[in-house]
Amino acid sequence: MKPKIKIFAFFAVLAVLACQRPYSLDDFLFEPVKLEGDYLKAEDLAEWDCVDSIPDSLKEAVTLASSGGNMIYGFYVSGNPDSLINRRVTILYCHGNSTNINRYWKRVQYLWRMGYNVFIFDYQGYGKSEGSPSGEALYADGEAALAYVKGKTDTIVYYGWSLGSYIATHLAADILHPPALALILESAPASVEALLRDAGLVDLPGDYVAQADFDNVKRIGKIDCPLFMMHGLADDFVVYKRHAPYIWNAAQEPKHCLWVDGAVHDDVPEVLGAEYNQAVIKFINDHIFIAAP
Amino acid sequence: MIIIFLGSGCGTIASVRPIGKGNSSLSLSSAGPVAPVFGIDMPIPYAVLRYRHGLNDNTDFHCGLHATMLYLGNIGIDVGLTKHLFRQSGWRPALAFEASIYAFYHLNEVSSIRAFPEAAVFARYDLLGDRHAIYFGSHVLAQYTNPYIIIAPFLGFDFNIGHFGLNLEGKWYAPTEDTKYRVVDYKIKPFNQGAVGFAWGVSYQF
Repeated sequence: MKPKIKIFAFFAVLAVLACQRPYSLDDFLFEPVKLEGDYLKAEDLAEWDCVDSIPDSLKEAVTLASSGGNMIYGFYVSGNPDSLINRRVTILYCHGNSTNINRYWKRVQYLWRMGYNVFIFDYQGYGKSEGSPSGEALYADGEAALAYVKGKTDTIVYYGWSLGSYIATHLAADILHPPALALILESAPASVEALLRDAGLVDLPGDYVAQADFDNVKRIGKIDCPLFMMHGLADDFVVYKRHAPYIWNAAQEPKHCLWVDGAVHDDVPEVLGAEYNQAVIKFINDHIFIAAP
Repeated sequence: MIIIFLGSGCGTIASVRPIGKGNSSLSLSSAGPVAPVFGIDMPIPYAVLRYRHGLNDNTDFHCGLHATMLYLGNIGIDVGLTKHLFRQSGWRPALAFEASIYAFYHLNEVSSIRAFPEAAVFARYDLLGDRHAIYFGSHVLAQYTNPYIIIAPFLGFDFNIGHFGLNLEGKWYAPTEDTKYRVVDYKIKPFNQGAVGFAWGVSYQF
């Protein structure tokens, strides 16, 4: 065989190898921290400026079977007993891409103090949950969580922060939902493709680098429940102008937004302060009929 | 978070000197902006295997296979021509123009096909006879979405020993783009514009 034919044959073999996809960049989407001991230890929460103020009697540790037979861990927090109305709503909280439940416990407490029941869960590979994270695994975990919450109530609000927005949007768009439902997205990326373009500037589809089917823009148009979006205008990671408007423009009515001056990726509730509580409660009250006890 | 190359001139080095009619070369190069890769700040490794052939003494054909894209399960190729316009004369450097088409395809999804025209202009000064050279120029890549034009000026050195060549380049990727806040934490971004990176390439001529 002539040398130049060998070279072209070599290139052809390499091209065939492309179909095998030896590697993807999905791992860069997830930053789990495994947990050997218990959740909600005071010293672990302190890392996130959090002091647990929810009585143990209102916290229920939950384990659920997810895809691949992997067990995932979560907490169901019963609403503040003083709040007779709001505690009829359960917020299914889908957390961000880093660490585990401990980091997000402060967020759980914000919502619990408003009176809502909250269910938070760790994705596969996070905290004590078995397995390893992937796009499919996260969606399966979200579906398992939804099945659990539906066993307790049919008044469910999906809340997704950052990475969790993909799961919350998936549940609202692709999974049958109960009649009373709303979706809250905080600091949500538009899609993996948008993140890729943000990084590399070149117009390439997200599935060039990642297998995870993470596309909030594609799914948001399928959602017919009320939507509430919050995004920090100073977000230096999921930059507002390169993400939020794309989701917002693709969403149907009814939809509400709160673009927060001075807030970065992970401090929207803190920057808003009391306005955060008011905005969430108003949105839920305006759109979900809560039967009197 | 996500790591991928940035913009124009991805992975390639300039075909800095004519290869000569009927001659061929094979090169491996890698280039990318400096960013954390597995916890280490280094040029994002975007590698390209490239074959060149001299059509005549001043015109080379090239085609490349983008190895990093292959590793991610995509096919990435580039094909093009380099025209060496004139040779060095006194202080006037040798000048060359390169035109390429980059094409990418993901598995079996026709909708994933992307093609980008790219051009490069570069000037070369020979050093120590004509075995080594210093060169500079810029890549320009065009696409249908914003940013429509991505440039990447570069400065490089070309060393040759026998049939082997070594190129080292510094590149400023997308200096017209604000990169203050990006998903990837580019480590060298003068004035928060674009990202600086480095390229190396080794070649064998036959």
